[in-house]
Amino acid sequence: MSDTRALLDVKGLQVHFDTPDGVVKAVNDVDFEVKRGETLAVVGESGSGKSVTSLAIMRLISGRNAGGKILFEGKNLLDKSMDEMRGIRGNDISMIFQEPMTSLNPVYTVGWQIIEAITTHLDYTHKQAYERAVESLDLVGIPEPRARMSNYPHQLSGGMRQRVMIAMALSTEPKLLIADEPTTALDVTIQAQILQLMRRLQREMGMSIIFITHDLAVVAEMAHRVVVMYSGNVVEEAPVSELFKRPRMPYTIGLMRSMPGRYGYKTAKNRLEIIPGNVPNPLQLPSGCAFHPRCKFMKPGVCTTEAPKLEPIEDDRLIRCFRWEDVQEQVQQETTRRLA
Amino acid sequence: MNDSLATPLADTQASTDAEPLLEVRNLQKSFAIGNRFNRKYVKAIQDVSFSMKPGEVLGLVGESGSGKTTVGRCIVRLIEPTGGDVYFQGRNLAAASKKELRSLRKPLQIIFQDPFGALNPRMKVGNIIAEGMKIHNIARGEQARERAMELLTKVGLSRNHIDRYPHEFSGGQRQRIGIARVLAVDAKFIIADEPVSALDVSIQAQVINLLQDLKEEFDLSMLCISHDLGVVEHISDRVAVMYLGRLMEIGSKSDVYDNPRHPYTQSLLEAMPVPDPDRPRRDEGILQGDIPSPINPPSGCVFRTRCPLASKECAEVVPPMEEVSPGHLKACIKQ
Repeated sequence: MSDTRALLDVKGLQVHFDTPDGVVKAVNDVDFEVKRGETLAVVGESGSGKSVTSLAIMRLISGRNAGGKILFEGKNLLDKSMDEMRGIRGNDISMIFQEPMTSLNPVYTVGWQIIEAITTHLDYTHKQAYERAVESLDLVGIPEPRARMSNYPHQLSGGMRQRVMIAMALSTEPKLLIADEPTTALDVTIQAQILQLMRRLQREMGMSIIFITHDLAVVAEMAHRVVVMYSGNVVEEAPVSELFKRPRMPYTIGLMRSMPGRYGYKTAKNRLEIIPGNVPNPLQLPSGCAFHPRCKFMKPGVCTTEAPKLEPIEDDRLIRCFRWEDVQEQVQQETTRRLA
Repeated sequence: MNDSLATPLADTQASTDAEPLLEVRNLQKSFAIGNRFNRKYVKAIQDVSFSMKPGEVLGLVGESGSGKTTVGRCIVRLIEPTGGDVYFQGRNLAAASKKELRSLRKPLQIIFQDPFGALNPRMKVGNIIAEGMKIHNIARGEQARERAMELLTKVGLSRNHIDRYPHEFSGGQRQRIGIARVLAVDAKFIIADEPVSALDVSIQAQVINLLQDLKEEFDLSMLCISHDLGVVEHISDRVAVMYLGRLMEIGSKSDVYDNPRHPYTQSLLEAMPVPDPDRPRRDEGILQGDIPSPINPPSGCVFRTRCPLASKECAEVVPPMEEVSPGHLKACIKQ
């Protein structure tokens, strides 16, 4: 019987860090679901809490869990013991990171490292694991996989290293792959190769992917659904094509318009439309909506005093904004004016 | 030797008769590596020629290892080129003595990628900005301080930031300080090496707008080095594309982006992710393979090992820069 529940359901997650200067609320209130076989993109700038959220799912973070649940196939990962988590990490949930050089051990061959991952998680003999490792290197498009098994990480290029990381993460056939900025350190032609590879592997293996990135263009290439994060909160969630056609939350609108190149909005004299100000200091978050000091739709007395909740709006969308209906109207007027 | 220069420089002469502000001719740089028993050379840039008119913004794009940063640094001789000439306002920087270089280099300034590494953490912002003014005898003491405060407001910071240290600022603000430092010595020509790559998305647009504003106000010319095709498209008048130490294509922004003629430029633009989820996701025609090692670059055309059009002839000669239309040049023997 097929399981119609979400594979992963994050509910009201809060991760706080106690620092000498006060409590950093890195993840303040995060809700999202990942369905089976789906790619969910999590977009945000530095300090938005996107990486902390993913590390919290893997239970790889020392922050104080201040609330919420992370349900994986219906069971709360936050209730698991560290022993039980070891059985889940690498088996059911795997992760790849931005910088493949620092994630691979420089003093072991890549073959050794993949075999270690396989024998740790699956009941394989060394010989079976070796063959499995060769297969997975072949799967990620590494030429001459048998010869590459005895290479050290420094003998491979950045793109090849990221392929090795993916091979290692997928060698145990996980149900969920968390990819934290997997192409940010790569050149654009190599990025295109890796994105293509991840799409193909998802089609063939059917795993779910959480794709964490700051790059909206990459989101458009990869995601089925998108979660936008700002200052530790999910501020908008929508299917990818809806989000790009009709961004609703002022922050998302600002991000889309400030893209350099032919896709952003130009104001007079070929200037980009910008989001003013800086990402807020996590130790002194603004009152009310965390985005209000930078928001051009901000209404004093409304946005400045009370924090908005993440609310469902039409067709499968969620938004955290008091004024989204007014914003929508204003944006429509602007668009008509631009077209005229 | 001078005959081979005629073509690469034709673009400036063709469009207007304005004197080029900067003219780079056959620039070369190889770095020696290894030891004396096993000496090898990394050919970081080979035979790069281009010129720029006053007030122009030239975008220099390429992937890592293409030599774009080395070009920027060789122009001001932060790295000594191993060959070629760099004419700035008619004077050859490459042939200048160290002493001459000091004053010749004043109008040429660099904005660096890493706003954390580019500012001395032990100096106050005011001193960072005033240092260049002292060295070049523009102003000192109270006068320099007053000017530094003025420049801070020009770059979107405030006068009372002058006595703070770099660590008190965010990445975007530090980049603004770096820009103020450049303006302090009356720069005419700015080499912006990945000026926004280290910044958050929402801050990038702010700094790009600032660069455009200042460019107009101070009548600056700019060489904008970046791997980000979107940033270069937005800011540049003309665009040059590099691969493995060589220039592949150069032309106006619309020549290069809308009518790319070199297979590498075409592949690069094709690989650029597009923020339109409804566009069919292409899985075919993506450039395969990795950039070869610059220690042992391919013979002939350096791009041929990854080029979809490559044939036997491509291995034989280094393709010269050929004009496709006035001011639009490509280094490829295929039509």
